[in-house]
Amino acid sequence: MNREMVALTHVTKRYGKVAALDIDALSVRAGEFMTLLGASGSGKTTLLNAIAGTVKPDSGTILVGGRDVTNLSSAARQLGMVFQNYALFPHMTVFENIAYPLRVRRLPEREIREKVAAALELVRLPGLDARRPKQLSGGQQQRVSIARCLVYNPALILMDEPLGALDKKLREQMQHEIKRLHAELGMTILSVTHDQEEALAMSDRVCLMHAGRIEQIGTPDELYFRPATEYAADFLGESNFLTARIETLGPIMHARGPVGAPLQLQPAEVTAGETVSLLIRPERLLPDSPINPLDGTVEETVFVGGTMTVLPRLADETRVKSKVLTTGGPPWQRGDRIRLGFAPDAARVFRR
Amino acid sequence: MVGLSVSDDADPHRGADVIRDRDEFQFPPRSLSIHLYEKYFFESSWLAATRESLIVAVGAAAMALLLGIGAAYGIARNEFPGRRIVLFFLLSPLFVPVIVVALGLYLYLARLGLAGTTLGLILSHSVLTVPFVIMMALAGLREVDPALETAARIMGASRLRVLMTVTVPLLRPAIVAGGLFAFLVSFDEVVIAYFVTSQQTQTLPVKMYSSIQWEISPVLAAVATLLTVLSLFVCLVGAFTQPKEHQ
Repeated sequence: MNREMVALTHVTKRYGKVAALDIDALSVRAGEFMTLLGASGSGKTTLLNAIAGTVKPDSGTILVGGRDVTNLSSAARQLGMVFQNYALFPHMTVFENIAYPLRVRRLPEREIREKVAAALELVRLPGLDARRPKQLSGGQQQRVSIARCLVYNPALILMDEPLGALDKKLREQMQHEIKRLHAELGMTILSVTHDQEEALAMSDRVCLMHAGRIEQIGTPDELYFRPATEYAADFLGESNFLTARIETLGPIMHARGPVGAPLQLQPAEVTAGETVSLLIRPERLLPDSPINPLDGTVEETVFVGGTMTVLPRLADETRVKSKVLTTGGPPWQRGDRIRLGFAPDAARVFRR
Repeated sequence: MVGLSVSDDADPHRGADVIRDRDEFQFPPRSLSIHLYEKYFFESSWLAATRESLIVAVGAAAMALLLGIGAAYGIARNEFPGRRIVLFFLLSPLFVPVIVVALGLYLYLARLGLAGTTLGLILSHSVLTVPFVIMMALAGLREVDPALETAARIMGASRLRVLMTVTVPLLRPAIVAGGLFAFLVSFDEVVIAYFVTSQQTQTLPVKMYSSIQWEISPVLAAVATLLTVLSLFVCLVGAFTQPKEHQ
């Protein structure tokens, strides 16, 4: 199954002078779990709404399941959507809520009862049919809204911040639940979130958005370890950025880092003499590393149990962050002199 | 509560020339009787006026609901230039003195050939009742999450189906309150009704007004009591049909 479920070409949307959406091309494969990740105002919700049919793009075409839906109403697009605030009908029981899309499709009553029961079974909420949404907890309400979506088997399900209204523990539980349903039922899911952990944990691929454009699309692993841009690197996870000047190219590049330290880097597409930014994740910038030494003074430490965050200031005033595993030995303290280092493959080189 | 404010006995201290069975106003009542209520219920002109009032009030309330909910929905759920102006225009009958509205309607209905007809009065009262329904429906729509309508649309429901199965049921409290309010406003209205009705289409308040001018009949007191009870009853129905707040 390598069919395309969603395909966007040259989709744009402006609100006044602001370009809310400017997408050259986006393709979601059938059966894929893709997350649109971005800060607020990045266009991720506008993109989702354009696919749902609640926002009309100024230009471009949107295909869903190979069908051009650009000018179709939401009702004609035949997809499903899960909302942040669940959007359950408060005047209907759980049963009536889940039966709603089936009644719209004029299914016989007996079939409706069977399908609703099966959907409640799927989201592990059997026996709550007669309750009203307000009598359920937030997590239960979200399960009902997912059941209401699954019950009519849409090939594509859109999720708008589906876990945004839940507390941390419930959120993690629902992440597993949604992943399980996705694995069991194999539908395509396009989800929106601003929570990077959620995006990394749930998705087959993440589409990082910034200022209405796609910054990078890739697997969670690619985005974290091989960010395409400084923005992507900064947005996902924690990062240190160091300035360096390339001196020699080759299988191992040599560069001059902050404080004049000689650095060894993996080859990248740069020219000798160029000034570059180095991205190093805090868990890879470690004390007592034999190569690429950077000297500094510890300014602050934060003990969080299994790991400890050490915040030194390098001799050239650059502040960096190092995440070390705790051993029970004497901890780093404010004012300690520290020598950090990183392996050549731990640094990602960005041209300026 | 029955007939406390009226008496059908003449007051002997007022003078001997008062005819024995002539009714008059007196407070406090010297004796209690339902005589005046009987008079109301058996006099065809009072009943005809009451019937007319009920027809007009129900008609004006229905018109107000039909037009008001539609207008409020359009205004609440769409962004279009001049939205505020349209809203102001629709609510303007509340700001214009009723006597001005009444005069305008009288001249307009005369031209349409509707002056003195029941339909003419229903339309005239609708001018007055629509703003109330719009205001209540707007307040009600603010409580209805637009995401519910979007969700229903995405599940494949037509616009009409969304309106009938999601929006209207959720607006029910506002619709009930708005409808009852419109009913009372029309049932109670005298100025416009005085201008645009004829002898045959007189409403109850108009009939009361003319009766106090020409007959000074104490039946009025009985009618007034009945009206108060009816208004109270309508308000109580309104209060008890509102849903209880959950949580």
